[in-house]
Amino acid sequence: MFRDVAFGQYYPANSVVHRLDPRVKLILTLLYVIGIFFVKSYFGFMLTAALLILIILVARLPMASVLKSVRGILLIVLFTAVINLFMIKEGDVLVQWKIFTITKNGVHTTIKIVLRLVLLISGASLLPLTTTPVELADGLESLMKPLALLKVPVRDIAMIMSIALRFIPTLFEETNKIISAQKARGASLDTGNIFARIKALLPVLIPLFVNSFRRADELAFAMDARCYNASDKRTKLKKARIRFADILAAVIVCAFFTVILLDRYYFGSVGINIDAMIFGGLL
Amino acid sequence: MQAIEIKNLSFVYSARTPNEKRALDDINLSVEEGSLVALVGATGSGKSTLIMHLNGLIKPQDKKRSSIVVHDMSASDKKALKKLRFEVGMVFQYPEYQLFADTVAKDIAFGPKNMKLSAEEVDARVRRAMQVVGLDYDEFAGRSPFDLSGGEKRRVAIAGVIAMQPKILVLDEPVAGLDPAGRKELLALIKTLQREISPTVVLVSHNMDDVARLADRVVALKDGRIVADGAPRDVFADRQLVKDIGLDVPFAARVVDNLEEKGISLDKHIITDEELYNALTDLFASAGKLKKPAPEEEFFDDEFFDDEEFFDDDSEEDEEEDIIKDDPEQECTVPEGACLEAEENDGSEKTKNRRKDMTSDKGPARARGEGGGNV
Repeated sequence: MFRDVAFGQYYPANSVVHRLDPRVKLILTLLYVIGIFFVKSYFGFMLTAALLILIILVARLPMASVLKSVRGILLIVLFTAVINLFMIKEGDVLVQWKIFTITKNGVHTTIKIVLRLVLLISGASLLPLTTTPVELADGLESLMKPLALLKVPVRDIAMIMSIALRFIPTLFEETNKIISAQKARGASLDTGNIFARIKALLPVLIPLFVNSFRRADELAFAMDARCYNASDKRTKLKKARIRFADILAAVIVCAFFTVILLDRYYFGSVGINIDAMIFGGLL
Repeated sequence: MQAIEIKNLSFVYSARTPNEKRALDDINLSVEEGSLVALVGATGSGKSTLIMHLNGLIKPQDKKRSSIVVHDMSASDKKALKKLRFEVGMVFQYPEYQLFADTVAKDIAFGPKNMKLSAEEVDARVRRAMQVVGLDYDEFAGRSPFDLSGGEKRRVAIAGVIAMQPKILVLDEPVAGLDPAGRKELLALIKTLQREISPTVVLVSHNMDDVARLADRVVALKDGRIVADGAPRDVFADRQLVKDIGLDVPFAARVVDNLEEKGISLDKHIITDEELYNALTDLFASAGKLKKPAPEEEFFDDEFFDDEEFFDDDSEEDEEEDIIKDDPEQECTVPEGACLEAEENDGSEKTKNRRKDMTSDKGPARARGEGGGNV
């Protein structure tokens, strides 16, 4: 039931992408996500897809692991596609049937939105796929450091984040155990109407909460016993360092971002011409 | 008649990923009705995966090859799933972590209610289950399960399973984390449960003494395969095999081995304390050092330890106080390197009494105070 949830989907492999500095990966992922929203032409989408496939190949990830995250938003993608397909009324009419109208513009917009969403989610999923939760938390902490000047308790937030991440698999395991135990007593969690189902979840949620509080208590004691103090300056066991690969990755993604921006604002006709060259009469 | 029949059962976790793990590898196992089978094996040997197949919590992956039949019901039959779960009661490890209701009675009633029994029948079953596990209905029924002690919580959880009156009971390490007293009570309870409610019991355990004492049959798993299967006596007699599986032998068998190293040979089939006791008394008797005492009815029964007189020897205490009275200068000296051990069980009561004596006007302590100066 919970095995396919996106958290903790880290895919262990020995690759350059896995070894990149988590801070660099975070920023570049952000840049990629922003970049996708500036893509205008099919040429731009092809470029994005090429970059994505390059990263997947270098990271030695199986395509299935990336597509799995897309599966989660499939419903949203379909919904958006249908709405766009029928709602856009400008441009040459392709099909007209009763109140339904499909225009050329509508088809293009729909294709682009689907591409954008799929590329967005699969690109963003590369970060958790190639970075362990602990690295991610460390990276975020490091990036948030400037906020400490504004009296934001960065270290506390980072510790809370790492603990939360650390306990996600534990909680899933625990949830599964409790579900098994209640099922063994004849509980049915996936039948009946919505209210019946919510009520059926109580025998799972209550022990889960009780156990979580107990565990939090134990963890607090354990941290106390080791004199944990968030305000002290803490050192890291694994210090992340910027290496050549990080710079190379940054250059590639920045180049991608620049091309996308140029395509949109300065050489708009280039991308469209390439589109025309490739797809010809289809457009 | 066979209560459980498993044929060619294999199970792979996370198939076709880097985390792939073969948990079960072609298991064939049948369990006779009315027997108590102990399932043993190191952590990760597949015990939990195997037992979760028994009530359909995990379905056989290879439906063509594998089959699991429990009392003539197939575990892969979706329609019979509920019935199967009521037939096979499953008590997981640390079952007290699954309690959820606001009262003990409601929690125990969860299973019977899911069976769609009438309210009277549910109530009757709750009462019966509580009685069998040794919880007084009037005292516990209305209390919150979260306010109980660890041992009591576990009893409630077990009652919640046996209230469904399953014909087969599966217990996954039922004594884990209990104190010695709770452990002993629970082990006795397992026998009671077998006699009164569930004739067939599958017990997962890491404690070989418990296995030796309770089980009719031991099935040992290693890396998802059955590597030993037989009467505990025979399985434990093969010491090399037991070692290979990564298990211990019972305490009695360990004593036999240690004695053998010292040149005293006893039967390798000895697995319980009682057998060891008999063998040793026989040995001494044959050496002419001891007249063999009459065998006890139940070896190391409750009263052996709970015997008040065993610890609380009043006469000794009186003597001690007499000494203090007689000799006010008496000092308590501890030789260097000695280990002082405080008696906890009943000693505390004595200490309290003695303190009271010290503060009262009369009594040995006062006498000591006068004699010894500043106290």
